[in-house]
Amino acid sequence: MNTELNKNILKQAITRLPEYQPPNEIWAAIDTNLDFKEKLDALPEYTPAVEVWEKINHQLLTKKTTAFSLKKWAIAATVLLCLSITFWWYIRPTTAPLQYAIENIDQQLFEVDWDEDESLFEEISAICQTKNYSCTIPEFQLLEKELQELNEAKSDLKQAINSFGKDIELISQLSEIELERTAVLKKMIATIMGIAQ
Amino acid sequence: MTDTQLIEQCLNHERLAQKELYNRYKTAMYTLAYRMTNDFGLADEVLQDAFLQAFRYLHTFRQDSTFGAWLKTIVVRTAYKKIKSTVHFEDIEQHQQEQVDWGNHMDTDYLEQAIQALPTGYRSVFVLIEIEGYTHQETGEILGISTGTSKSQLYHAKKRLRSFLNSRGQRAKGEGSISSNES
Repeated sequence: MNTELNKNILKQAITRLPEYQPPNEIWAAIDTNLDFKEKLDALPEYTPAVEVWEKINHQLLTKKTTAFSLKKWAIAATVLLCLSITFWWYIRPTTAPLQYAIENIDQQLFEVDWDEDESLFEEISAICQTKNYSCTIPEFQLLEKELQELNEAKSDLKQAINSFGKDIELISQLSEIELERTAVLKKMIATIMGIAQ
Repeated sequence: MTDTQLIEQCLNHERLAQKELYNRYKTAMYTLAYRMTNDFGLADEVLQDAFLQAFRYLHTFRQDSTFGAWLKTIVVRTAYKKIKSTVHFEDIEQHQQEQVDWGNHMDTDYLEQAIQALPTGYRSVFVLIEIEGYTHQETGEILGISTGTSKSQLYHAKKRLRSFLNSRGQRAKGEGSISSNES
């Protein structure tokens, strides 16, 4: 539905509407503004003295050199650090894995009667006291001397065991001495028996 | 000299060419500024600002439209900036639109007074569409409103105008009849 009737009447009236003239001052204001803008655009430019660039250039070079030096030092420090780490890596105390061994000690060693064979030694001694010839020969006397040293060692060890307890190391040494004593005893018996035969 | 020739000279900051361009468009633009603002003081400011902008940004004028159309857009936008704070557009329902009958005669002075008496929103839309020839879409873009709002504002502006004209006409007849009795 058309909402307007006789619209041409309105349009004709609009064409007859009055126009308005702006005051002259408006152009004067525009002119002043444009003039001011042009003057701003036309403001002179000033060329700086040559020395200004020289100073800037000098500062740029200084900064560049400083920057280069810093870079150089940084690289040197890094290299040194790497070398130090490498050196330390090679000379570092090797923390080898903890090694240990379990020594199974025969508990019977602690219970041995180390004077069990003393009766044999006493018999040899008794034979020699009867002026047995065998006891006078040099080989027998060397064995007798060796036996005496072993007896003294045994005596010292037994004393140490009594003082410090049944230490495995002492027991082992005592065991070795006893074996040597036994070996010497066998040689002494063999000497007496050989000569006797 | 054509507008194009004047514009070329204006681009070279030739003041006489600028003044000539101003003189060619000052009345139309000033009238438009006044109709938009309804205030001669504001119209002065709008005209000055608009021409200064036009000269400053003349290098951006691509001649896709006439210089007058380009300048008019600047004036409308500049004017609307001045009155924007006083405008409040509202969507008005138009379920049952009454016909607006402009009759068979319209007094131009009354029409001018009626336009000046319109609220700012109605007046802006009426001026842009009925006087300056903008479409509803263009008006909506300039004023920042929808096309629908532009249409409803125009309809109610016309209703208000018709009402104003009717009352003024009856009063004039009454005054006329009174004045004729006195004489």
